[in-house]
Amino acid sequence: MKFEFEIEGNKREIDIEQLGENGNTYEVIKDGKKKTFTLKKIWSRNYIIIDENNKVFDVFVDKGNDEGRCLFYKGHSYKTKTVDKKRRGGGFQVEGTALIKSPLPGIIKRVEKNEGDEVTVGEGILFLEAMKMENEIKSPKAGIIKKIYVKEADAVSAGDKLFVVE
Amino acid sequence: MGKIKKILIANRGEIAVRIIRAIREMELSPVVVYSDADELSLAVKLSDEAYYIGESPSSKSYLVMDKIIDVAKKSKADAIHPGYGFLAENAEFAKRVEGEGIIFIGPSPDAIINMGSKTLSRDIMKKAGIPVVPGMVDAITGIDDLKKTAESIGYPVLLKASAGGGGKPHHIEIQVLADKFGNTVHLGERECSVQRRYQKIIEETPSPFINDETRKKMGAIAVQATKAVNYSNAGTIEFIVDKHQNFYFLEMNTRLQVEHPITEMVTGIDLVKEQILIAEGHKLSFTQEDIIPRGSSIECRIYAEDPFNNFAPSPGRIIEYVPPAGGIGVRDDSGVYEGFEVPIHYDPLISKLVTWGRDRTEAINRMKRALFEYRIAGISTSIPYFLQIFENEEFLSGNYTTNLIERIESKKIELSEDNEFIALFASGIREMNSKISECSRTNSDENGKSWKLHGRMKNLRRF
Repeated sequence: MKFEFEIEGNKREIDIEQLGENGNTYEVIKDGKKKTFTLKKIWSRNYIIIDENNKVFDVFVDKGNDEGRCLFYKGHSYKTKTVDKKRRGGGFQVEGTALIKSPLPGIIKRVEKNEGDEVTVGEGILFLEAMKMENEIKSPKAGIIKKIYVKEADAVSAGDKLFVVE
Repeated sequence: MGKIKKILIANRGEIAVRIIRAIREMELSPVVVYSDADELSLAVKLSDEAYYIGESPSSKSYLVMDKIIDVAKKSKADAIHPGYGFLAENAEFAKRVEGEGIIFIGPSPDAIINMGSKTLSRDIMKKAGIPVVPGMVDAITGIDDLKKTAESIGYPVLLKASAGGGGKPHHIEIQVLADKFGNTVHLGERECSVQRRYQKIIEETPSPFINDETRKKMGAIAVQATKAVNYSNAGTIEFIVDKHQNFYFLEMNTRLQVEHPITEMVTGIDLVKEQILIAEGHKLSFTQEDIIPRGSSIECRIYAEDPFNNFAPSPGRIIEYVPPAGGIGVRDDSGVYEGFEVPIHYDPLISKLVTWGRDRTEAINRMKRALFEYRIAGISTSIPYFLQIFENEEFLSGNYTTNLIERIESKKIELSEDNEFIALFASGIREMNSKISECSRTNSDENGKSWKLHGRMKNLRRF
């Protein structure tokens, strides 16, 4: 079965083939390189993977909103993302308009700009408070603020719309 | 003073859990208060009684004195433990609690007032012959700040650039315990120089920097300072120590400190139990000579934050949680569990991981082992950053000062060819699994429906 993922921002393709009917051995091909792994599934997202040299990898694969995360329990994790072929361009960019969503759940502390204001790249638009820390949410592009969806003291969840820059 | 049977904890998170543990071991009854965000907290789960006190922002719950005192009266609690933060160093609260005939587990309101003010506390200490910081040690951020500072300490003022020249100091504190009969002891020091943005992140005892002579002197001075304010209960005297081992009083914290467990690990004394006993009117059951610290202990403050995204807060649901519970010398003082949602409203501290070793090297290696075993998913934590600090030569040498963290960049471990292979393979398997579970979910829904249908038909037949 072929998969395409974005891992730490780089697109990669792999082909996973299960060896035998109900076996736990898989043949994995990446960039023409072939490896065989033994997979032990603890739960649908926890695996112990053992490679050809009996090296153990304790892995957890989380799936967030659009983004997953592959956790290696040796102090590191990598961002992974399923590449959706239907979506073009990637990110939140839609024909020159940028929709900025909240990266964290939190409370809107201050809104520094108004709809119709002209902004430059990196200019602060609003402050989001989460866990006693203020996070400045900046404009990713230069343009005009077309819409602001939130006001001071609003509670937002991760992924909620904040504002649109055109 | 009456006998304490029931204690209300006016706090939340890991410290509420920590206090519950001491209360239960003393065979007393723990009562907690909770806000909306904490209705499913570990402290609530472990308590005997829990009372709702309001919305999530602490200004509407944990900081509202009326609500907490009401709960204490309603639950017939004999005493209130304030933990740290929130109302712990609020003299008015302590006074009101006592006014209601409830025991406040902490010092007297007067001691809180005297030590709560930087200028007042320094004056008191100067009069008592305690060496006091001869000026400001905090960084001056601008002209206005400079003017304000200069006016508060008085002209003439000597300015010193922090880079080059003088060098950074150490931040070392001494734990003290005092009963209501004037018996006062110290329980050794805690080195708190590993700080990020003025927040302590790692503490250790003993300090690898000070020598035995300084250690002895600091302990004696701390006891002297504690007596100077007629202090009772647990307290901490903070000192600034320069490279020549000169030390100066900075402030006194009139509460239990976040990092108190490392002192407990080397002395074997449960500070929360001592706090309760002192508040109940007991004499200390040990003298200074009985306190013989053994070995070395380290604490890592595990925060819900992303070390690879400028330490941004990382609240959310914990979907996997396996703390390193086993093995000699490991203690995890946590306030969370698998399935708990770390709220956005409070301090992001989720757990304090503490290790003990016969010496510093063993304590560090044990900490590295425990961090390696710690499994948390669903939120980001500072664990990967701690692993980097424990590889840092300067930290390992023990010869570090308060600006150590500026030199340790939080670096993501490079994605090796091997790891990329594994990550992609695991992601592919996860993808397949979610497709399978989507199918089975649909099936089970249909199963559910058919059971419902079956039930309805049975009911129909009962007619």
